[in-house]
Amino acid sequence: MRRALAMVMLFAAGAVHGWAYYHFVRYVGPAGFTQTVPEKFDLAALPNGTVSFFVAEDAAALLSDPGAFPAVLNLVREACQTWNAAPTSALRVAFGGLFRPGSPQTTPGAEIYFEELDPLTLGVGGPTSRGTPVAGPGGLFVPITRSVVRLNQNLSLWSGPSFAEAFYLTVAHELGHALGLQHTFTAATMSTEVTRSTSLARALDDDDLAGISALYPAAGFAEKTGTITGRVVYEDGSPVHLASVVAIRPSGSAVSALTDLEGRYRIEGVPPGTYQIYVHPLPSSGRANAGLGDIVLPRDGQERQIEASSPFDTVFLSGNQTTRDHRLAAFFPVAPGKREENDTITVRRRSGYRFSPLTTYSFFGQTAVRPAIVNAAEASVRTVAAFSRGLAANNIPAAGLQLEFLGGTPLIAPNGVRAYNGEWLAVDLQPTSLFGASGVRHLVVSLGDDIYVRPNAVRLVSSDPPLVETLASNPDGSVTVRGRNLSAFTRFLFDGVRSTILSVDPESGIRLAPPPGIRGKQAVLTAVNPDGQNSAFLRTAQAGAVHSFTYDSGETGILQAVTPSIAAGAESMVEVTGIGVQFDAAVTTIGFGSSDVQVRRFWVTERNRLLANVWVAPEAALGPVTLTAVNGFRVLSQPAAVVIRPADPLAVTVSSTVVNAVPGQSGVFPGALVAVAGANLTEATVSIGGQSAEVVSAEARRLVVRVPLNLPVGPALLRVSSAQSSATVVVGIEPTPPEIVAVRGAAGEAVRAFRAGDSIVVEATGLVEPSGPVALPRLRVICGGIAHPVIELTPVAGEPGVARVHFVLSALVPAGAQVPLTIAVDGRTSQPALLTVLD
Amino acid sequence: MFCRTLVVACAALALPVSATTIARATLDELIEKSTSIVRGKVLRVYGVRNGGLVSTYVRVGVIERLKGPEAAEVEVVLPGGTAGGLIQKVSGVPQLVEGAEHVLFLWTGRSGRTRLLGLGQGVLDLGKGPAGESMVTRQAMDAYVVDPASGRAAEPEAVSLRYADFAARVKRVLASASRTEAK
Repeated sequence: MRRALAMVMLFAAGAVHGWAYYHFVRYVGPAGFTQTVPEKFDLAALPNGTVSFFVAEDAAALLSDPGAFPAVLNLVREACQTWNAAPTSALRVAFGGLFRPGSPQTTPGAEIYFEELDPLTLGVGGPTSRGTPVAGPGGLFVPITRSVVRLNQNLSLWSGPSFAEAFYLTVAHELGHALGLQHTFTAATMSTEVTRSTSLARALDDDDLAGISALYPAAGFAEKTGTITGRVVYEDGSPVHLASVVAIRPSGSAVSALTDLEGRYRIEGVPPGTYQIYVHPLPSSGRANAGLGDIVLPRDGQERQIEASSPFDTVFLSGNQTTRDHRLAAFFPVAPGKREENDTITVRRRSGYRFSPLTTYSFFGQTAVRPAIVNAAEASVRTVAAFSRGLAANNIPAAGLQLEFLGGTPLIAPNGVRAYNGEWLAVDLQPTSLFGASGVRHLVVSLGDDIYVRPNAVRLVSSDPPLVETLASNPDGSVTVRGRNLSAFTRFLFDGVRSTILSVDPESGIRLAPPPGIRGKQAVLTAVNPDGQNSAFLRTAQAGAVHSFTYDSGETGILQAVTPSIAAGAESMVEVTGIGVQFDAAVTTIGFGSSDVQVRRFWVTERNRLLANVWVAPEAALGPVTLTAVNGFRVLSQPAAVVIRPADPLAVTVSSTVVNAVPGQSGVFPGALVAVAGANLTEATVSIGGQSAEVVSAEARRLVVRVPLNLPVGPALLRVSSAQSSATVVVGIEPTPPEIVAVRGAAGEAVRAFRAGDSIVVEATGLVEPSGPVALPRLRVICGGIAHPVIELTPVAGEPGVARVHFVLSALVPAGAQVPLTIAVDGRTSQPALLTVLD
Repeated sequence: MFCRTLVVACAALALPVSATTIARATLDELIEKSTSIVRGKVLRVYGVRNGGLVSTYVRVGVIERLKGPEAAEVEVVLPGGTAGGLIQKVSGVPQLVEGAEHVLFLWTGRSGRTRLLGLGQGVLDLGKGPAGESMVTRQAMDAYVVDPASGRAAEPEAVSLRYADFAARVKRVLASASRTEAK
């Protein structure tokens, strides 16, 4: 087989071919010219590009443990936030609270039901559509109308080291289906449960991010990541349909794609790096009449289901050949914004596929953790267990069985693969090969005439799991935790609900604010570390490792919307108050039970008061809607809290998306010129935070307004009024951006021009907060378009509010007489200072 | 030490298989966990839309009951399907075709609705063996075999059972379970 490598600019490629990732697709067009059409949400039909997930309100009564309902809602919220945080995806995902099944809605959304499912089925999910392709900016697609996730009402089915983690991962996985992703085989969240290796700490793997971003690409997605394309055929030249092609780094994650009818594949969203590539057939689902790999098979224009091609040898690419020996596999560099185009990969048909998905475990006492986690800092031999049907029988390993890690490390000890318990394998890892290693490692299993690659088979970490030794209540309602392997980076969950770290002290312990609760509620504390380990791992290995917290006060409270009505087709501020409530923005969600009434953002202004910007669809059902709030362990509902009134085409409307109107500047801060979008604005007057704001320019759909100078930082009401009507939304007033006062040499001397390598000191305001100088990761120094690492930030003695920023001029900065230098904090950017840079 | 730990822990491990997040069960576990087991013929398959939910209803004419209450017909509900102009896709749901004969492991909950136990895991195909005897086939767990000449999936012999042997196994497992309960 010949293989040529060509690097071409991504956007010079012309037509898009191949099936990126594993989406729900159909094929359209004649043979040889088929186009792969995915099912996805139409971003243009979603407010703010946001799809909301709602939980059916009858869930509380249906759950096997009704007391777990608030925790369940919080974990659903966490799963939504996980998908929402995908940085290269343009789709935003929100938890919208509770809804009443059957209520009319016109905006696409997603619904979660708890049902009586059989005791083997934990959950199912997928998109709902009308099946008709439409044209969009990225080509044809089938719009998802409403996705559905069904979860088993019997919560006792979720077990494992942490109920919260197991349930959360199931929800995150099913949400992925609802967003348009199918299964992959890379140990990501969208992989089947036996091979999944994500956790509460690392919820999405690279393949998940690539899958969602390929479907809903954000600006810059193609420029930040690479693409690998090619084709897979049999030896007779016929194309292989639904072959899985995987790009993998020996100590990093994998990204994959399936081949289409012509055998073409397109792996998008590959993080820059050096990869090996292998191709494997889809495994059996293990279930009668279900598609291979549990893939919903593509259909053609006649609604015929298109099956996967017959199995073939799994092979790595090696130069212009293929190989089963991973040690001979070639490495391919992937650069951002580039497409690496491979020549055709030729594979050999075989009569059957010998492997089943391989699962690995490590043991902490009697607690099995899957996949295996190994503390590489320990000097002793570490043993992991592995299970895959056919690798051992009757305590004897299969003939010809060989196990190795991709990239060669960690090493497996001599005679380190043993059969146990019938079909199980115990694998001993050589401790010397583990020293200093961290991250995931992939196992390659060989049975002589075929291989199987198990991505993320083992995660190497550098410490033991977190251990909670004591949990003590404090008079102020906080709790103090002491234990081992706990830090400021540990997440503390009470029955899966986040708490807030108030202070960290090596002597006295970590002080937490538990989420708002109800008197008598008992919640189990779980500590989750960034390395994927959690304190539940040690529940059987360490006596007293499980700790519960019992709330001695707290009521559900009463909810009330102060704003009586809001108009359809507009955005409005809604004020919500409560009696006996304790709003905590980190664990509070409010919603109105419909994707036609969406909460865009809210601010907790007082313990029992919040202000929300609420968007209402033009075609939303008129009349009263129910307000719900999930506030830690408190679930509140207020029927008929707000009335949706008809749209008034002559009334002033205003969007809460207020942006800085000055080119190159961002943020809404005192003194800033900001653009306000809306309707009927020509004669409008504006106030912000109760102060009159200067209207610099006014058009029917756009105002430019100056933010009053003395507004405090925080939420402020933006009120736009005409003679006949007015509209109010909330805007967040941000701190004033940094202002560059002076640019000097390293010793503070005046310098007229700089060269590469010179130390530069910039004096600027806006870099010191009441608590001290801003943390360096929040600071960005850009000179000549190049980001520069900050060496030091120090306040200037005797000049309140002024600080010095020290950096070294990069050789990448082009020479010039007017090279711009800016400083930004949290994205708020100073006006540029102009430097002279010499060659 | 590791060996003992492993043996103890293995017994407690559930192996959910997918996506659709489903716990994997052995044939004997399916026999035990099901509320009824029937050999039947698919009479009718139709979709029903209830608000945002689409379900597929499968009416099955019972030829033989191996476990559970007597009934001439059973109605099985599957998640997803096509109804009311909507197509609701769910990974891992088996397609049951009118006229086909299967052995079905069913589970009826408090609601009275009957579902396939473990979705596709709860379906066995019926066919004829080399001597014309009636056979039940459970698709191999995590392995499939293909006829290289035709490229079509073939039934893996290793997991085929004569129907008579299967029926006897059901009786044996149920008898064993009832003995355990009696203790």
